[in-house]
Amino acid sequence: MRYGMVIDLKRCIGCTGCSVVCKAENATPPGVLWLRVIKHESGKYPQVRRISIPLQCMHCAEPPCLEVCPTGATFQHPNGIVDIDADKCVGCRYCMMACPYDQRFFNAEMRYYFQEHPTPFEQVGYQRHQEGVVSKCNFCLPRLERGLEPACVANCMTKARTFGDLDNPLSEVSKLVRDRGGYQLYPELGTNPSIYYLPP
Amino acid sequence: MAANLAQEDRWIPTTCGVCYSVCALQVHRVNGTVVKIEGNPDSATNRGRLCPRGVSGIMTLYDPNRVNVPLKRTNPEKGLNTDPGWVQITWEEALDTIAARLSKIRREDPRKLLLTGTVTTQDEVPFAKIFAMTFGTPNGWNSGAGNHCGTAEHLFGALLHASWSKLPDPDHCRYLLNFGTGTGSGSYYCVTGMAQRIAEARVRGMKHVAIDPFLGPGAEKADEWIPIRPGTDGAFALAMLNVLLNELSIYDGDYLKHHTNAPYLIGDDGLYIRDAKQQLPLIWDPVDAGEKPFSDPTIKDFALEGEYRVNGLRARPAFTILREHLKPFTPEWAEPITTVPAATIRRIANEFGQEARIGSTIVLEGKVLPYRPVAVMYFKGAQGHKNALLSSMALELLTEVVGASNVPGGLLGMNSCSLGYPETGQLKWTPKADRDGLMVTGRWPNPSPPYPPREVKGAETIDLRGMIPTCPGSSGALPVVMADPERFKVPYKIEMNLHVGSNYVMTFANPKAIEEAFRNVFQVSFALFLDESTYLSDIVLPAASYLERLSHTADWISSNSPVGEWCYHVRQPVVGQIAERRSACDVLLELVERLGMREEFYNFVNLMLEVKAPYALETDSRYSWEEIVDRRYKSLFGAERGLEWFKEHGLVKWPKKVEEVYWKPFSHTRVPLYFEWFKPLGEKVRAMSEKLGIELDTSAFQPLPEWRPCLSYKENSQDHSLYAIYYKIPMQTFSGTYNNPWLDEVSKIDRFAYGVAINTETARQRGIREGDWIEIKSSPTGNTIRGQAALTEGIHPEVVAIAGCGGHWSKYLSVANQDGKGLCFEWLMPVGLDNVDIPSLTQDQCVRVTVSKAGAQP
Amino acid sequence: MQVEVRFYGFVRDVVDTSPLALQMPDCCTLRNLVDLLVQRYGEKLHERLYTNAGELEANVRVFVEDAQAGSLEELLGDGQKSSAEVKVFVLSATAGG
Repeated sequence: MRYGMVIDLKRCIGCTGCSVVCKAENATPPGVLWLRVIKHESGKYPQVRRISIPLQCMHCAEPPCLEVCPTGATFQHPNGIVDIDADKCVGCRYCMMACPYDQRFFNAEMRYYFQEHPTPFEQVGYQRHQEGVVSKCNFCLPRLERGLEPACVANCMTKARTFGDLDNPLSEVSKLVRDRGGYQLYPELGTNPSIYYLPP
Repeated sequence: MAANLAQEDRWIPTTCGVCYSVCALQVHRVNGTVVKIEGNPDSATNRGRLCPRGVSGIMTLYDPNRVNVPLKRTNPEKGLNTDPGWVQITWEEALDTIAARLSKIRREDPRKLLLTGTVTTQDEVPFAKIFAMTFGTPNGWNSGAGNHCGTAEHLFGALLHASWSKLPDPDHCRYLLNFGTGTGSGSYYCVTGMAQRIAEARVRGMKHVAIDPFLGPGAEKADEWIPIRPGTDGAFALAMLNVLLNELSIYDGDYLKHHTNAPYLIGDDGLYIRDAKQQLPLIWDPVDAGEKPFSDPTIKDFALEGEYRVNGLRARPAFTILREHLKPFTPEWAEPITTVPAATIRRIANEFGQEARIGSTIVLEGKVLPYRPVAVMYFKGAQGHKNALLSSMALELLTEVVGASNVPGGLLGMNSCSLGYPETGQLKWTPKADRDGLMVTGRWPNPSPPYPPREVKGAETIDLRGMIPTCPGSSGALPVVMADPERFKVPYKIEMNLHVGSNYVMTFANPKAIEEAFRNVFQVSFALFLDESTYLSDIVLPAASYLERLSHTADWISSNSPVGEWCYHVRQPVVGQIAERRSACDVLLELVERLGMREEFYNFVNLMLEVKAPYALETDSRYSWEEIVDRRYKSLFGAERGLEWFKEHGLVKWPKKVEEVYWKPFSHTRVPLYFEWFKPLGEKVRAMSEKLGIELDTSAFQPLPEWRPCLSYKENSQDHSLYAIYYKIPMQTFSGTYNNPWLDEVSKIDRFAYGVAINTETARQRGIREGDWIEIKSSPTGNTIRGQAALTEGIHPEVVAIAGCGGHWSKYLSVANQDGKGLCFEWLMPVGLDNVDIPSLTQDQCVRVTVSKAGAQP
Repeated sequence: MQVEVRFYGFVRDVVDTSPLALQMPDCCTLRNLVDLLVQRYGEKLHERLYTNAGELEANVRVFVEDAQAGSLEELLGDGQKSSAEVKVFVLSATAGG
């Protein structure tokens, strides 16, 4: 069992719906964006291509962040999800330096979007977050436990995201990786990410 | 760990109100707090998914910048930067003041009332329209007439597709030519549903060619991007038409004969030749070698080509005239105008013509239908110009000549034909033919569709629409006429503006000129925020947002997907009342009582909302807004499906029939290929304008397309000036979402969302580097705006492109008013009829600017 | 016959919109009625209601006893009825999209 995700760049329109639904689902505070969409441009006018690339924790099979964590706060679930135990995190941020994908976020102190006016949503949602710790995408583990897909998968309006078991060759994710030439980011680093991209 | 002792955990079905697509939601509320907004998977509109704006609504619901109590100004001086000096008043005082004003105006001359609104408010604005109609004013303005609206596109929607707008058939289209729209890429109608469906189309291999000055969100997803000079899309389309008809002879003769006026005989005066007896347009039957009325049952064939004599006069089929007319418009002619190589235009015409697969058929639900898997989409980008009418006409004719209009694979009206809800037969409309055989729209969001045209009248409205019946909706002339009604022989001045949620100051053209037009008007605003337009308000009422109010009106026809299922939703409050916020519909009902217009208003409600017996409103009772919604639902969907049912179930849906989606082959209506009636209508408009002493250029009222330069094109570019254009992005709707901090956060990551796209080489010539602050100075308005340069190879070298509608300055928008939160393009765009397409009253949105590196950020 | 007429909407600036009682011949068409009203209120009402071809403008809807009239040639009275209630709505396109 190894949870993974396939992001189809042919479908993706770079709308940032995944970024925003991640904020809503996980109530992440300002500046903490577990999921971002970047643009990449290539070519010379007028032969130009610009694509959108959603980025989040790659849930590497060989996570460099885990090795450097001095307290064991970063750990790997048997299903492959790389997670952080906030109670053990001391905020040293070695993991942030180790992550080649720049997908970890430090929440120094709790801030609110409207400064001194926390919204009712934030008052409820931010109880899930601690100050002085690192956080990141956990594939919406609480949703998985309820039998739901990660929020970014369920909401993507182009159905660019598919979630499933990479170890099962019959799963949709495995099939997509096989049939559509799925690739990982920076495979040369040997991190073996659990997120695969399909070509645009 | 403490046990979760939630007393309440509910999912509430409702609809989104962040844009005009009105997606279906289910809102998660825990102990009274909204914790998540998701798409309602039951809905056919968005199929369980949402765009970023839809998800972000929580932060607007709870934004502490929201207006919570009624306010009145204490500073008598009005200005875009002048603090109104708001003080809190009671609802009672607010309504007393408003009712007294309205009462006086209604007594004197009801036309002095103006209604302004926005298209995103698809419940309150339509209800306010009924209020305004009852009140007796013809004056309304959706700020969409500015940088949002596809004015001329909607006109052709009515004339050619019997619908407000149209979309490519996502299930069968194989070749999409996209002139500057965000279809499938996060904007335009049915935004979420189409994003899904177009993504499927990409995966199955639909080719998408984007013609656009900027490689923006729409063009990024295209297989090929063809940069074009702004405002010249019509020239590209004309050259394509010429190649198709005169070089390749690719056209759908069968479609043209039976579904258009292409065979109608035209005389040398440019008008139909009609039979003496019935005055019906004539066609030439080549088999019987004679002329016949177009509807003659003995017709054996329709001539599309040739020259004939009828009653001794030369008579040629409209198609022949079109073909001749197009001959000068070669790709070589278009190349220097558009900057697109002639060979590219020729290639695209050829690809489009071949992929139309003329003659092929497809079997759907056992019915054999024409299969024409090509579509041409265009909207604000291509048509938002001085040449709107004639450019749109050229773009539309591409789809028409290959017969790809409202057939499988082609361009589909939204939603042209509805056979009705099966259980009640309500919500039934279908395009019909008039005496000339031409199509009349079955349903239209305004009281009368543009065809048949209304009589040309004097200046009875404040926006020239009385005189120019081809304007389909909002008029680009309104601020011009409003600033100086006497010049247009309008016998009254606007005294009061009922302002229902639109930041028109920032979304039409030069805010300074808009301020001049509106500053002397008593403005009452239903507002979520004290945005820039409320700086001109006298009273601001705290409006309930879409998450706080009830409505039946999520049935705007353009939110229903063109394919799949019909779907009608409920909008209901997902939280209890917050502060003193109230729904505009509730408040309007109270004003109706205070003004003593209940009898009239209820009669209008029954008529406009199709509330029929036994549910029709009786004028001796007083109904709450809830009761009115309930009655409308029951009238449309039956006694069991009242408001309570909808509140629980959220929506009603049923499958679309093939005759509804691909209605054209089943219809006997014809659409114009030759817009014969434009010319005499233009003559009437000219005569009226001359009679009134108004200078109007009516020369664009002509039956066949041409390309005419915008002012920006004509301007000499010796001074190295550039074109500035505006485009839409998926993470902001118009100007209204910029205070949402989640959308702000994702916009900040995208350098184009808040910056200014400029070609790398163009920037280099000016010493501008990535991220530099630059100044963009408008040549016509003299205004300068500042933003950060976003260098890219993906933009025409003569162009800078500005996303969305940022650059807020209201001190009451704590997120949006910060530096670097986008730019307000409209500072660059002048107000004036010189920049308005007269037949459609479309406001141009491209302008000449000089761009230079700015000094240090102030 | 006794006919009660009431105008609604974008017509207040040219007519009195309170209910109006008129005596009409027992056999008359809607056109007869509208023509009479136009006589009373003059050119401005004519312009508001009619096209130059003498048909009702598309934004004008006439109801007789709550049923929308399909044409001005419809009989208002057929000799049997002694009264009728007519509503004339003038709709206005107060805003587009």
